[in-house]
Amino acid sequence: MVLFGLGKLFYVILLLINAVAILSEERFLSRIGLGRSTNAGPSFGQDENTTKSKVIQLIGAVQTLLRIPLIGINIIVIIYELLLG
Amino acid sequence: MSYNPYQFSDQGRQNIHPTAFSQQQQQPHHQAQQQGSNQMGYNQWGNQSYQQVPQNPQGYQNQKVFDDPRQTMAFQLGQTAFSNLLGQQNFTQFQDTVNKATSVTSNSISHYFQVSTSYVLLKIKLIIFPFFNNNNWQRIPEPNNANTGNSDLGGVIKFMTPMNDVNSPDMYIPIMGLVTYILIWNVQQGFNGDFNPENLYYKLSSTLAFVGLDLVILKLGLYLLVTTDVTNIQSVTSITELLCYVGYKFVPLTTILLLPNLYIPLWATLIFKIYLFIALGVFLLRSIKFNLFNNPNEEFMNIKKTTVRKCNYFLFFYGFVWQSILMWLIG
Repeated sequence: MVLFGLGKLFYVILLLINAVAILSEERFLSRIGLGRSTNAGPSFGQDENTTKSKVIQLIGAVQTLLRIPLIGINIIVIIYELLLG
Repeated sequence: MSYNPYQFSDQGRQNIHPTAFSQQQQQPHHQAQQQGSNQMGYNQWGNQSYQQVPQNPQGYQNQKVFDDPRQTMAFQLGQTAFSNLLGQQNFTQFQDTVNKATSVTSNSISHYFQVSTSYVLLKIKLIIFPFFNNNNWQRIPEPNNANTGNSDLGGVIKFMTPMNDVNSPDMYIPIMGLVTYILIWNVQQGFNGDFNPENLYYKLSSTLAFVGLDLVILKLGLYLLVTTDVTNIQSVTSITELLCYVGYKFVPLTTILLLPNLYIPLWATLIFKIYLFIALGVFLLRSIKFNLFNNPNEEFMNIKKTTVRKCNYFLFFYGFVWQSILMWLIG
């Protein structure tokens, strides 16, 4: 029985954040309209807080903030899995 | 000085008073320092007898209360240090601060633990039978804050504690529910003959992981969908509050565990389980939704219809589909 515990949840969240963090800005995100540069600001009369803009904010925040910590956490997890997993 | 660890000093004061009084006149600067309330008399006496212990053995004779000179010394030192350090005014201020800190504030987590027995019973009834609530799901704002809250605090509303308001979320039921659920699950394992102490930990870990996943999904969904600038939303969709809603699923889960599954036919159990899922879904849907869009200070605020509809869809999906899957996975 594969147990879904806190450790597995940690892996799930880590992999998901990894997935968000490696999305390439010019190759992928801007093509589907989620790049930061494509819509710099809301145009007149547009709602500032749409779902799409929040998604863009979230992706941008993850890529900016979590890039360096993710390197360290990934290395630790890889070493742990290689030695003990 | 409301806190006096040296209660026995009262009798000591009576004994020593004549001596101390005679010395007061010799040392007027002490008096000038410590004029004031009646309690300060303690201090005065303390300071002076502190000086008189080494030089005046007769004065020491009167202090029969303290058999040991070290005791006397300690008492006086403590007394002086305490009052010098804090001062009478500071001390009362300190007490006020402590009172304020321990009293209920809406932001602190203790707000969610202000429960009473009747509240818990009503809430459990509400979770299991959410259809009989007369469609009243809104929380009651705190009365003294409702008038001034909008101008002073920038629209942040404080709600009544769970003790006074059934619709307020609380943390007591989720935490107690989690513990009860894990214990009952393990007891049932024990009845089946395969109790293992490791299971306590494994079950806790997996349950917490599911709850965490649930919380992440709910928070993310509400973050992406609820698109308003109202500050009230921030407090309503805070992690703490959502954690309460997430944790209410332990009530039906524990109820399902308590079903005697021997004498009841399978279809009846199934129907009961499905009913409980639906009930929880209705409960979550209504309570979260009415808390999201309930702002008593403004009547229908600037929330768009599309946002409300999107939120309804999300909460419907969350409340019914996802909760059922999750409870099936956990249970």
